[in-house]
Amino acid sequence: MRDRKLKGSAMEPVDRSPGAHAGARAWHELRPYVFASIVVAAAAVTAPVLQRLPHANLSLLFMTGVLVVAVRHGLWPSIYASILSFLTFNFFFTDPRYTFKVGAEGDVATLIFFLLMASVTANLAARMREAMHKREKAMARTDALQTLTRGVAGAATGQQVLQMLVDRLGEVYACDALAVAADPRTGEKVRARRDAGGPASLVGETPEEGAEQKPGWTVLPLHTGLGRVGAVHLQRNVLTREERDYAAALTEQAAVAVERAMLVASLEHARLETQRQELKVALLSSVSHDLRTPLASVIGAASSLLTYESLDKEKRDVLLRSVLEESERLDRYIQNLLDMTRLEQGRPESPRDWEDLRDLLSAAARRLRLNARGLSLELDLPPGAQLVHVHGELLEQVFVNLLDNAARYSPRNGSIRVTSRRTAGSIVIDVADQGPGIPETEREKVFDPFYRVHERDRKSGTGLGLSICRGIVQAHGGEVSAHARRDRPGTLIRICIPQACEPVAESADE
Amino acid sequence: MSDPAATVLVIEDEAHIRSFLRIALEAHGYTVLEARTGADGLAAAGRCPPQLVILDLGLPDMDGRGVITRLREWSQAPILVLSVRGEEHEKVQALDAGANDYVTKPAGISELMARVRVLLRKPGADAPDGAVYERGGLRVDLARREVHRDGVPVHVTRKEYDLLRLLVRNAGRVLTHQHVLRELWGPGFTHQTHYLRVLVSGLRQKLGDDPADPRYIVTEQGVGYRLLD
Repeated sequence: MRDRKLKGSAMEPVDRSPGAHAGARAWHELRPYVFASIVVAAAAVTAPVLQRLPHANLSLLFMTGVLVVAVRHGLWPSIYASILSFLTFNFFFTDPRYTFKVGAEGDVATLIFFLLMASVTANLAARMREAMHKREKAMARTDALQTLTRGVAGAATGQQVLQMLVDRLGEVYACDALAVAADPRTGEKVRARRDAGGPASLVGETPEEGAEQKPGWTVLPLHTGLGRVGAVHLQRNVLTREERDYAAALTEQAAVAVERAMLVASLEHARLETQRQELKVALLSSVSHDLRTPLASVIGAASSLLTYESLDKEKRDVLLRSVLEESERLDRYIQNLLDMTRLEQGRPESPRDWEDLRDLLSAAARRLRLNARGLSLELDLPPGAQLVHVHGELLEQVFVNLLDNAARYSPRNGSIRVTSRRTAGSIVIDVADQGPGIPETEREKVFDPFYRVHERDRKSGTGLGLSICRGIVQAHGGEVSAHARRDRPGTLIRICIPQACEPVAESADE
Repeated sequence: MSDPAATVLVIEDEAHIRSFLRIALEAHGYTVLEARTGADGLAAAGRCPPQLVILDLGLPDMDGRGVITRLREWSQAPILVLSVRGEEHEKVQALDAGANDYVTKPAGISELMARVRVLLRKPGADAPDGAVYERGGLRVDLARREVHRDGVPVHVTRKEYDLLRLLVRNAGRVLTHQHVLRELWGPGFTHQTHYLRVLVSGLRQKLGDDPADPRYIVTEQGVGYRLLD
């Protein structure tokens, strides 16, 4: 069933224009005879001129024509040319002229010579042509092999190698080709395919990976030092011994390159794995540091309160407030870890909805108790509701992190300024602090998770915040970047979030 | 305002949270019943009907919403839900299932006790249509349909007044977006959150309310709004 469908689709180009195709074929077959006719006609026209020359043997002229046809077009056209030459010669140039009567015994001999000459020459020519054809083919193959060798030497991945291999094989054998390979160490699979035909070529009608045999396909194994790693499938029923040897040579070349690519890939794999492990260690050390620091304050303060019963009210309040504030810091940190996990899993808690930017910023400021920390938040937003279509909780967390960062580096009684504006299709929000600013070379790095781990700044909680901001903003299809403040020293963090849809305004109320 | 003899049932599996809730509630003169699981809680409520239930949504034996549904089959006692941040949809679902309000864990005790106080107000004490709301310079007279701020009349649109009236009649309680949208625009408008955002923004401006330091209307992220009591 599958097979029939496959054949049907392969036949399609023929079905589409049968007339034109048949015409082309007929012309292809008739051409040698037309050529032969023209050659004989040319000889007949030239003959009267030669007749005036001494010792002219007209039959030699026609013989030359027959030879030319034999060399160019082989046996049957040359026999056709012999008979035509004999008839023409007989009609125009032997007595009785302008009749087909054979006047002398010698004329019959001429015809026999014509035919003999034609067949011998044609055979010779045919053999010569075949030899040339073979040589051309061999050269093309050598060429293909060299191209492949050159190509695969530069190929970086197994997939590229396989693609080159199937392209070459498919080109040389004019058929569909498919190659599959799997790295036995990493289990990583690569595949490549080539469709020989145009739009009518098979799509999805390829042998399954690992299927050894499928009717209409020839399988060539890919052997490397690791054993059999894959196979090449050619959509050809049979290959001649020569074709098979040649395909095997190409496949062997490719196998070496695939092995090399796999080795490179597995080294890269190992390198990434090491990097991941390092990141995990950094994460663990950062998490334990950032969780323990506030916990240490909580435990210290609480145990002090239990131990020293006679503390005055002021000291008790200091301790109690530190319990409260440090616990809240812990809560923020845990929220960041949760957000990060959710982002990595790519599932925001709630769908996007319309939010008022002013509300989100205010909620963040409230959670951070900016006012109680002696800092002021300057919201410089256009008047009215600033509607944005976002994941509200996540964007609020972005503002919590940005404002918390800004607050941490702000001078006492400093202010944090937030501005927003709409550009074509996005909303741009700037959060500017009055801190020392970030050196230009560090501005991109601050968004790396655990960037802080690599430097001396151990202000708690700054490691994840900005990278989570970036994760959340990117989940909204936006970008976040760090800049220097223009009007005064300080850092400016810019968020740009595309806003595809505009809210449909409610019909005016009163 | 609150009934000092009120019985409060606390359904919470964390012993530390139960203990500080008990201390705080008893300090306010309430009688406290404790249950560690949803099943225990339902049984305790059946034995001795409480005036208020404080319910943790993350119970070991059953889904918080299940407890609410079961309780609501026979009891109209107000339910205050304890939930963690970042699970706003859970809060909304709990409110839809019949809970009356929520507190986000971890929360300060004053916030929690304020909710308890509001919920324990007798239904009859709910601001009726004729009542007057007064707080921090804002005066809303529902009988006269008048809004004053610091003695100066504030002109609000009809929708703004409708919203204000809804908030005043539920002062101190959270109102979900869906609830407000349904009340003000109709059942077909529960997803037009932006109408509400624009309306609240305009009303706040007229009342001179700063969302970063709200005196009247508090935004409950992902859930709704609350008029401070």
